[in-house]
Amino acid sequence: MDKINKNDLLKLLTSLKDKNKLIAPVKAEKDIVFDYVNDVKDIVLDFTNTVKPAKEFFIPQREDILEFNNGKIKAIFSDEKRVFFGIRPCDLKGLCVMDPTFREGIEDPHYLEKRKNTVIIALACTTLCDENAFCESAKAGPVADGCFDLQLIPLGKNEYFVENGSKAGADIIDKNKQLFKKADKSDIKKMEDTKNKKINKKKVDLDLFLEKLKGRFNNKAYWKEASLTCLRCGACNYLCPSCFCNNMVDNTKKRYRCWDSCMFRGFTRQAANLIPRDELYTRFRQRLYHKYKWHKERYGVHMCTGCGRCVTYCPGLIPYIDIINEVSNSNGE
Amino acid sequence: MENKSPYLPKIVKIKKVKQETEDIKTFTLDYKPIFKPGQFFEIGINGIGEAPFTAASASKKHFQASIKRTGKLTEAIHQLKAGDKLTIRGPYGNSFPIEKIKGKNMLFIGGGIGLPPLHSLIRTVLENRGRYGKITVFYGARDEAQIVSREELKNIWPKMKNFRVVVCVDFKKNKGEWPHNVGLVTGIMEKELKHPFTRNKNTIVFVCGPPIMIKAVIQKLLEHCFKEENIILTLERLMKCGFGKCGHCNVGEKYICLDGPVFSYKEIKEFEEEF
Amino acid sequence: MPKVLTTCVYCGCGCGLYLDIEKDKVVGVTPSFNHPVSRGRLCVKGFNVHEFIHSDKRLKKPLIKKNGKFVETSWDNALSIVAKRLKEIKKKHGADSIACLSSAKCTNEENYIMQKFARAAIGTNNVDHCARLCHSSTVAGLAMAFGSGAMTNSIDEIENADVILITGSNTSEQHPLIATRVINAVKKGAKLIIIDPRKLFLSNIAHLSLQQRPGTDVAWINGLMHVIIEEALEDKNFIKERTEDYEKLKKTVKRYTPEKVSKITGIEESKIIEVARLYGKADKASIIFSMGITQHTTGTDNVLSLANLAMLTGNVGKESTGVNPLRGQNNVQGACDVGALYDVYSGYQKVADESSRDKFSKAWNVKLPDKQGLSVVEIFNNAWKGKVNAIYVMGENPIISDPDANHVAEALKKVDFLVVQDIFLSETAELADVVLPSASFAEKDGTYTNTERRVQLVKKAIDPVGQSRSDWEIICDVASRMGYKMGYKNSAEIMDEIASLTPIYAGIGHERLTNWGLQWPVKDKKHNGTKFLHKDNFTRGKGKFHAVEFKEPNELPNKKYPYILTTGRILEQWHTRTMTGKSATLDREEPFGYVEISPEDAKALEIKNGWKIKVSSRRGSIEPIARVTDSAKPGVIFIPFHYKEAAANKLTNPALDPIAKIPEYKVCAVRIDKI
Repeated sequence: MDKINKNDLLKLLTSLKDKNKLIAPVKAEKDIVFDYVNDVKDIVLDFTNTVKPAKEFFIPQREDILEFNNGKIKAIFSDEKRVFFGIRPCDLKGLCVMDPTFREGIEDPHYLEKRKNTVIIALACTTLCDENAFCESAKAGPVADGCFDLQLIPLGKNEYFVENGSKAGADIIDKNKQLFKKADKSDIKKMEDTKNKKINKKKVDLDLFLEKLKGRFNNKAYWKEASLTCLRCGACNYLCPSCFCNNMVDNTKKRYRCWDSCMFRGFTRQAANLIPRDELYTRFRQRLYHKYKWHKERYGVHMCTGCGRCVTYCPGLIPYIDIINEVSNSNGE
Repeated sequence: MENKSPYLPKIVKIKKVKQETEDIKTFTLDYKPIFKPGQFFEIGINGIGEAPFTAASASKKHFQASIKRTGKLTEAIHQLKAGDKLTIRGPYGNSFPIEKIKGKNMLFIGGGIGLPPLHSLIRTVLENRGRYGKITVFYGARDEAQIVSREELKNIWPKMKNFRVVVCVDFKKNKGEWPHNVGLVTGIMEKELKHPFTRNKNTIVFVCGPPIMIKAVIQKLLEHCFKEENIILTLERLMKCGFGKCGHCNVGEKYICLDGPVFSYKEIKEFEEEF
Repeated sequence: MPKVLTTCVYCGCGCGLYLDIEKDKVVGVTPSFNHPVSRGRLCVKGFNVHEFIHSDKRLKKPLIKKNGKFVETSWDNALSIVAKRLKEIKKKHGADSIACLSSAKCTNEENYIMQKFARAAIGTNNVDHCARLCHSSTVAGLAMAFGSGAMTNSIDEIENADVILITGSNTSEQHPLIATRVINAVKKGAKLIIIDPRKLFLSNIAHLSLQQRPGTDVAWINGLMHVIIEEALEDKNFIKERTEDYEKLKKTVKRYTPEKVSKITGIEESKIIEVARLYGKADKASIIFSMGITQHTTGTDNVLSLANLAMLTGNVGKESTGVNPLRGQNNVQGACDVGALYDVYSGYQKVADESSRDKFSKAWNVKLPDKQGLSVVEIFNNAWKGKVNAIYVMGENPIISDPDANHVAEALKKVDFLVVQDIFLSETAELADVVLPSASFAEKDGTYTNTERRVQLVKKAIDPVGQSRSDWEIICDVASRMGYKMGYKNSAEIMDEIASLTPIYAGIGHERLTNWGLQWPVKDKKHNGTKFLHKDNFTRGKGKFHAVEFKEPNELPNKKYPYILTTGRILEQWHTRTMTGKSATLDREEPFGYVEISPEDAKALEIKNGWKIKVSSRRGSIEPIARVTDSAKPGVIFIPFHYKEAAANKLTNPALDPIAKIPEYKVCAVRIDKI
């Protein structure tokens, strides 16, 4: 078991940056965001979480898929090797949760190649990032339990316990042995304490919620009331680390894929002005059922990692956590 | 890598264009895909987009699809002539339960543009006519001018053995050449379901048409004691990918493109409000 | 994926967002958590603001019309044609035969340059912009009552109001991030009152939601004041210390009994009393209004009445109160502030005032015209009559946005020379002789002033698409070619000039705006701006009550045209769809023009939801799709004006408010026919 201090971590990242593109949390003008890094000194290590989740580096808000040229069509791929440092457990779990979708049946290489070509060094949380976070209930954080190549768990201010999660992770440790130190017993205890520490203020029971959702689908009145202040902005999909729904759009030269939102009226728009989910409450219901019931039933994982963004950034101030708890505590109708 | 994308369509030539009605054309492509009846394809034009269409032809034959002019893409497709090019990828989705219907009677109920998708199955059945029971087709269109597959409905199928065709139109504008009923499909069902040729509760029913019609037809069938698992529907959504990645066709734990588009009513009745 | 912090280009909320750049293209949007208005949130337009930037349809090269068809040309050629033709027309018909339309979509710097161009380079005050069509009555009315025509309070303060009265504003659709504050206030216990001809989305959470007959606002506001005075709920101290002309008002509203008001407006008597009590008893009551109040022949009267109501109860000049017009466009406040109006220079300094004229003449080194210019609607009327011979349009699309659109199109066809500067070939640009491609908001630096008077930075994220250029650069070049030298290193230098000439912007400079901008008035370089106006004194000294009588709208329903049409906007589309129509996500939400009609009217007319129907007024007819909804009141229909295929403004009435010259978009008489 290894640990690494802050200076050596920066050295490690510098060396990884030589052969890979390095993505890490940095300060944009006023906010912390994920971006490609030129100088590791720009990396912010004590950030809470970004507004836009890390998924934008795997399924970008807009990404060219096909290129049209004189009647010929070519697919566009990026085979960049990347290292993603600093992804938080909730965003990481978001990727794990959408992986099976892109793997099932015909694989989607536009997403999967990016996953394959990106080494992930996750950064576990020790402080609460958001009043509305419930990552503990969603079993996504504050420390990740898989899906990473390496995970750093803070051991105080300047040191991190290093957890290895894959062969790529082991290779990094192997090739940079001089930067890692052996973790001693007290380090391991600290690490375990961090893993066991509860920091969330909000709690939900997603399994119970799933159970209670079963009988509530056709309770129109409830869904109407719950969606009363939805302003149709799409933030709860756009800013969700696990939402993957996307649209394909053509311009004269390219076919590009962009984020879509099941909260949009146009999401189910068909020809002849036909819109199966025309009413707002049906879309609101769709999002919750897809996330908390159907995705779980199909792929065995909830499509929610408890990051709290859908509550924090909802301009309609819809209390999703209260809704989950309300339904969970109901008689299931 | 460039050729690995499942989004990369084939570019194919249009062989023939047939005007079915004022706003429906059947396109025959210079392309003979292998597929099962009920499966769908993404057909498109570069620079405009793609949309899912069910094949009207049988497998290994020249691909055919009937396309109604309803939006930007179909408008552009309608501008194309024989010799022009389209893009196509597929097949996607499941298919009609061919095995399950062996030896059984079949009732096809189509509305508007909802008949061509059933064609593929009817054609497949006709290729092995002996394996299947009686066939009834109920077809409804808005008015006489909107009737598709006119040749089959009028001249071919009614003359076949063990094949009964009933056509109706919502509005009758003039006398016309069709000896048809006036009213909605559900209206004629009331009477025609009792017809000795069609009347059999174990008949497998295939329904395809606009959502509002599908719902009404199901209601009628249930009233007449057809079994939920014997009512087979094909559902529509504007599927962007065709293979479970874009999320547009999610209904319940199902993706219409992966688990459908063919469903029995029993499988999806919980989400009736959604289709 | 570099992220460049900037300000959203759509509405007057002025949300902060980052543009995500990949390979010189804007590929996404990241909300800014720390922005004072948006706080990490955005509406659907904000989230998709990048979509139109790289549209195939962007204008990339200057175009000139040859034999009725556009051909591409060089900048040099296009600019010399524009300069030459304008000089010729000026020489032949005089400077006042030329008119300029500025744009509330462009930056403060660009609007300032446009009005300077009109006044100094051409020599006419014929410069105006779409603010005339949205809030000119607000600017006029609030200036008369308070001395300052802008939102009195800040967006943040709404959350702490006890009572919020929303009238003529569909806040959740038009200003979603302000609706957030309203929703939060309601969650915290505030009482929300909505008075609007339509049942709105926010009506769902309103304490009271009342639907008045369109065009009867003065009546119900006078009615509220009648009850407030009758029940002694007025703020006597405030009236005495801070206001004048109270007695005149009192005398007038005395006649507006709930009974009389109910007859005029269709609102129940008891509800008028209930609203009056709620508003009158509130400690902090905030009025939010928008074009439902302003776009009437009595627009200025309506605004004056709201100002009366606020002053009567002392609900102005303190936190979480006020009279708060929500400005529509991202920079409509700013475009007015910097003088893109026919009667004022920057900072509302009057053209008619000799000392102002001298000040600007001196600064600009040219003798300035003293004749007041033409307003937007007058420009087209004069063009139609052959009195305006050239029009220079920057980033506006009057063919869709102006009332009686057929008339506007005819007028534009009549002028000798039409220049349109835009990012897309708009319907108006299609009629132009010369089209100049401008850079979008992502491709230039500058500032926008949001609805709460916050002057914020807009930053260049990518190079201009194609050969497009910033609007201010283009205009400066035209001016210089016409012989009036205009040259600036950058937009910051233009702002310095604005600050030097504009008292309310005196302390503003780009370097001071990096911390979420400043709210004007900013008196000097040390002053940190003004959160809410009229704190101890009104801008004009004392607040002035205006006794206002109710007047009927210009056009009332009759046998032939039995329905009232009111128009407006929807969340996902923006104005004439030049931008949202090119955004795949936004346009998909509502791609077709529609008309909201009540179930009662639909039944009587035998119309079903989804049918195409014909709606006609005395001026034209269109064919929108019927949407049967109980948010429409029987007798009143609503059509969003965005769609050229069903352009509501072919129907609307160009009758003007006599003071503000704003047309009566919100009321006209129409008939409905089945197709």
